[in-house]
Amino acid sequence: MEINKVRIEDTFAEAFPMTATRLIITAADRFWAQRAAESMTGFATSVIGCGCEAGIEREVAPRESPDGRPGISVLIFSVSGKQLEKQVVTRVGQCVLTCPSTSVFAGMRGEKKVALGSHLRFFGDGFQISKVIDDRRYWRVPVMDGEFVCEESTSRCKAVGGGNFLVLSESLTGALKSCEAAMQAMRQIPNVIMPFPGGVARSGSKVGSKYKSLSASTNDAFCPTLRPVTNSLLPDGVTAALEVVIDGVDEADVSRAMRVGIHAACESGYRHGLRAITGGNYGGKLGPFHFHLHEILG
Amino acid sequence: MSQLTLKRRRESTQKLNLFAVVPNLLCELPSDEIEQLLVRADDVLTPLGEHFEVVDGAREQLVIEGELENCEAIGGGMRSGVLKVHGSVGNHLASSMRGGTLYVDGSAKKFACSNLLAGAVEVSQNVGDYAAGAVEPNSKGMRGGTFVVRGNAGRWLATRMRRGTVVVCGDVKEAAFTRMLAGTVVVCGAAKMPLATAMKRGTILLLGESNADMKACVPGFTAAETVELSFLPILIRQLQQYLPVEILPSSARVQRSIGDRADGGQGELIWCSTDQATPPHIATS
Repeated sequence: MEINKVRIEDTFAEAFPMTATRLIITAADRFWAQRAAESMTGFATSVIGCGCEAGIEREVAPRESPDGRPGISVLIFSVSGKQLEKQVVTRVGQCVLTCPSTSVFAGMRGEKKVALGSHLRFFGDGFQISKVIDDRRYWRVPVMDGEFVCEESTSRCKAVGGGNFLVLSESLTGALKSCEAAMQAMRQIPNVIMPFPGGVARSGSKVGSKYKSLSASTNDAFCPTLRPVTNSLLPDGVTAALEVVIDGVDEADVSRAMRVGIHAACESGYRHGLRAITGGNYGGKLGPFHFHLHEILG
Repeated sequence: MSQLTLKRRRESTQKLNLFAVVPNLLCELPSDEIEQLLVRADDVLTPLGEHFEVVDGAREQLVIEGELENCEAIGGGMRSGVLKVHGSVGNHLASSMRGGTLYVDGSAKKFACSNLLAGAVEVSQNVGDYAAGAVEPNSKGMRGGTFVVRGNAGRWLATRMRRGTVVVCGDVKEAAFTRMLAGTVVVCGAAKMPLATAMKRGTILLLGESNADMKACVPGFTAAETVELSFLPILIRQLQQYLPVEILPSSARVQRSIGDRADGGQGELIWCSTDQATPPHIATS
């Protein structure tokens, strides 16, 4: 299969079950909502070292947001409900509560709850006020700029983490251009985030390492400088590979994001040196979700 | 919407307790069983059919109509469904109601919604004393749900109210919010002193212009100060279901007093601010 002369490998991306929640952060204006969201989703590229994977999903217009102010929707993914809750409370407490003019609300409804205001309310030192409005409980925590409003809890759902595709290019510049085009298109897709910096990972990994203390190590099959000394999966002429990693609320969301991203990358990618798109997997033995590239794009 | 209708057969001075005459029970029963349902008339159990003509229809809602001023506890046993009452009703409207929607086209006497737990109640005219307040044997008043009064409320409104939202479109009489524990009350008209005595917590939103004179002199409350309350836009969005946008605050910047400090209370009296210099805009839905 080819798209605009870019070869699409007949392979699949392997992804894993995760649990996810969504928060809506509002503020006096878009600038401050963005600052809080960026801070809160920082250092959240991989559950391996960061505890969660998080990112900005989209902007929320004032008319859509719970308090009529500009907002940002963020998604947070983790391996367990307990870990997710810990990350949510810590990040909101350190990065949203601290940011001027913000409030934070549940972005997801369901039976499985994730604590939010029920934990953060104690910062009010007894001066906090609970308010139930339309069957939802909010906590009003007095702070120096007025009050921080935080919904009591949000909910979580089963999710999918680690959907991906790799762009293989004749140059780093070309690979970057392809990924930037992919990201611009993928950011319009709801229910997904691309947690790595700019949405793109340059240090794709494989399971295992020669060092006993490491569970993952560089994906040598896609390292261009190791082509002569390893079982390389890089086509001739390719000198750079980048990986776009996607976490989504469900399989359909991940699949859609992959399709949109690959098409966007291929649209003008060949001109910039893009030669192939492939998928990262572990032989299909680890993750239950398999995203076959030809099926997604077919 | 098709309905099951109960029409009061005749005027009577007997006090009828209609606690169990609710959609979640009646809408499942055939007409003859409805007529045989026992209700208390002056403490004597009598069949409902003696007092009401049952006009059957598809059971999407229950309607009660006629002379109902001696009928008590209407809607009290509601858990779900829709109950519409055409006529003014007696005491204890919606006491212990746990869900559903109740609409009264008329007035209600004393103790309306005194033990409301959940659901939505609306009265198109006035309510009497002790609405949404604690009534023996309960130590707390209204504990949830939404209660809208389109007219005026009597004395002792929301005494020891614990949770929920009350909206009074008209005026409230003396002794409102005494020992209030929590919840939210919105008063569009005038409130009278004494007000909020021994209030513990809760939020009273006073929209009436005439209340401005009280700002400096509610005993036990701090002097009104200008604050920006971030929760207010959320509350206003809820209130837009019941009140016209024009009378609601357009800003989160209001004047607020805290009290009753004599009881260590942290309740809040909120007056809509006339200081509207650069108010943050509240987007209306």
